Amino acid sequence: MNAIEIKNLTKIYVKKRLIRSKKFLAVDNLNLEIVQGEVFGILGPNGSGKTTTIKLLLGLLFPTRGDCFVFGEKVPSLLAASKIGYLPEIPYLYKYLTAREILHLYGSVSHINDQILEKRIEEVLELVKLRAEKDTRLGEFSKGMLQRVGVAQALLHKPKLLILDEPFSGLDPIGLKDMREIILQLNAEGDTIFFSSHIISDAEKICDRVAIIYKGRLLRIINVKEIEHGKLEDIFISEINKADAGK
Amino acid sequence: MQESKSDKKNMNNIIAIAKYTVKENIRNKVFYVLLLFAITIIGANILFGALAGDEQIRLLLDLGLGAIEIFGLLVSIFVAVSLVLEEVESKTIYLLLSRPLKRMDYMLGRYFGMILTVVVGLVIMVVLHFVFLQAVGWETDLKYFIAIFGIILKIILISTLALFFSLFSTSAVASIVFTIFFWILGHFGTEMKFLSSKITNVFLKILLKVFFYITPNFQFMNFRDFLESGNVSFTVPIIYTVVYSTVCIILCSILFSKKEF
Repeated sequence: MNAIEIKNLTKIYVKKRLIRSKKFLAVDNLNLEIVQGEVFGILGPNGSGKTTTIKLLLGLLFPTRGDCFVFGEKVPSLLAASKIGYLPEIPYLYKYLTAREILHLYGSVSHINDQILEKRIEEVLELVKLRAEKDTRLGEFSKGMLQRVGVAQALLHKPKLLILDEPFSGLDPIGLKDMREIILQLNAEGDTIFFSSHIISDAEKICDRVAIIYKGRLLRIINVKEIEHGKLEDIFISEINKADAGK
Repeated sequence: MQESKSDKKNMNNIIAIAKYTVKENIRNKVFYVLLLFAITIIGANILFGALAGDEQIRLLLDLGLGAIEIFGLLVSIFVAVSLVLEEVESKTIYLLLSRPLKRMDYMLGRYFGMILTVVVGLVIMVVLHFVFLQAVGWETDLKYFIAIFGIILKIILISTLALFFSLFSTSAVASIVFTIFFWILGHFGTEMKFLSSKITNVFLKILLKVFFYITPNFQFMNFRDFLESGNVSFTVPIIYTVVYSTVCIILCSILFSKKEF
């Protein structure tokens, strides 16, 4: 069974105006299969449909056409959601709650038993190096610290699939290294990682396969091990140029 | 067995969401409004302190009850309108709805959390008011608590309606305006009915009738108006509040289930 299956996925945003509605094609007939245990990167310039694809996988948006499946479960599904750990590009967290309180909330909603949850909160806070700040309100946290709380909440319920939206953007070099290490460690434990990025060098370092998407369309899937190291960026640019030329 | 396990999970989700809603609101806004209320009451006490005994008590009693209702309304609009709208705007909702949480459970958790926050706010104001009344020598009267109960029912109704408007429109200002409009209209139910029976223009007649049926009838809960005659019935107002709120929540859930983030 694949971790993710995306079949003929299309998303058209309709902006309702008083006289005429405005339509925007964000994802165009996308087909993808992500095998369990792989690190899969979805690459594309800004506005190419990466975040929309992720939101469709999470059930935050509804597809115009097509379907998404997570571990065989058609999205939206509570069972599928229980197996996903999601990290948004910017961690949107409640500034009035402390790190421990917010993790408690997410853990409760993910149906983690109270006794196990307390232990698990300590573990993930240790992993993201925030144990000392666990009782500080998030409003007092720096951007980097918030990103780490974001990682902690994504790992809290030991998900089998991690969906990360631009996990490397806005991180300092140490944060970048930590993020890479966490992804590789989770992958070594058998988790599937699906992430979006426009930072190609990072994707090349950790991905098994990458998909290049542009204007909502899948241009190419690349097996990273089969290409020469450092060549992914050239391939990416050439694919985008080809798509522009073929317009 | 499977079903009861799932019911328990749903209930746990609702409780978890309600808990953080109360925490978030109390740390966020409610106390500022309550502080303002306390200052108003203290100010009123000093101002009317110059007046003779009985007058002072009557004024403090009336002014206090009026202030509790107005501040209750402010707290409820404040909390209800931002309840979901703010979460959508700040995108904090992403991390909740991407978890195994039914949208319906989220809505119910937020709703009960909001009602609890608003009622806690009202209770704090009542305690403050009660202490002041006692300090000026007021003799405890059951009518006071009956009047407070009516205010609580009204505030529950308007909070539910404000939540519905916040889901219906995309702007906080529009939701606040709609809520206040319905609050005012809700106090003129009898007048609307009377007008619709007198008016000859069919369009206006239908419009008034529609508004009469869709606006909450707050006159049911103005127990203060009926206390003197002794004709106070709790059954109709309670059933009315429960039914009206349930219909609103069902509509909220339908709107919310179709929302994209």
